[in-house]
Amino acid sequence: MAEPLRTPYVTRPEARRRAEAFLAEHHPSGHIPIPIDFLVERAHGIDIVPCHGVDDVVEGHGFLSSDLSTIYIDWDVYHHRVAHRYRSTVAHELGHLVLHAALYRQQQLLSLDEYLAFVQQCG
Amino acid sequence: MHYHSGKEARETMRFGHRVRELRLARGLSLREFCLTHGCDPSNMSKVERGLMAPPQDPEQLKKLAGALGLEERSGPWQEFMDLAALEAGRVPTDILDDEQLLAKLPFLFRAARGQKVSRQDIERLLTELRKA
Repeated sequence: MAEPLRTPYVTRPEARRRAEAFLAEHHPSGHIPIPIDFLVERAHGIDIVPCHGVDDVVEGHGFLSSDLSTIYIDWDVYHHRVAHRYRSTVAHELGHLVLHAALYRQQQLLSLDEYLAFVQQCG
Repeated sequence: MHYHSGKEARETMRFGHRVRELRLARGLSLREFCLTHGCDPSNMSKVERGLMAPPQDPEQLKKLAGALGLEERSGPWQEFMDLAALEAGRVPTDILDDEQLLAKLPFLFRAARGQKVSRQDIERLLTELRKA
């Protein structure tokens, strides 16, 4: 059964420190624009997959899957010729991976009903 | 729920794994690779994840090999072709089982509109995840 969710508070300086550590390790040249999607795919073995309907359900342009294997990006955002929103969404989800992976791993959701109970308690 | 990296899952899908490895070795994200070479990112992602069989059209396969930087008739090129042929008969696991699908659902939601996520919302998302 899912445990009640207790998210640790991460201060802005701490979040910045973790972001800079990630870049120092995976993008030491610091060249702009940062190839954030490439870094996520290479550094974490994550798949970045376009998917319809994400915007409607999660109220964001993407999400990190519960098993930490995939970042789904809303279809329109993924295919938009201007990539700013796509890139910022990938970076946002990377933030969840870097800051919250332990939290994801704590949850053991074995059925859709358990999953629903869990997300409804969070909402 | 089983937690794994995409990399770990790909160990059993050698062609897709190889495509991804070669693409990353060229310094390209999936999106960038597809934009550069005119591929459909959805299909390419499915090939990489083993959810779609390797292309069997020889010209299409040669085009992909070239885009991945393989020199025609070289050892790695031949190995790539062999892998594609080897997996030609494999039935793609294009539909994830329920447990796999559950693991793909989002864990954290934004609650900007202050409403709880409904069963209908999740079922709609599951339908799309099956196709993604």
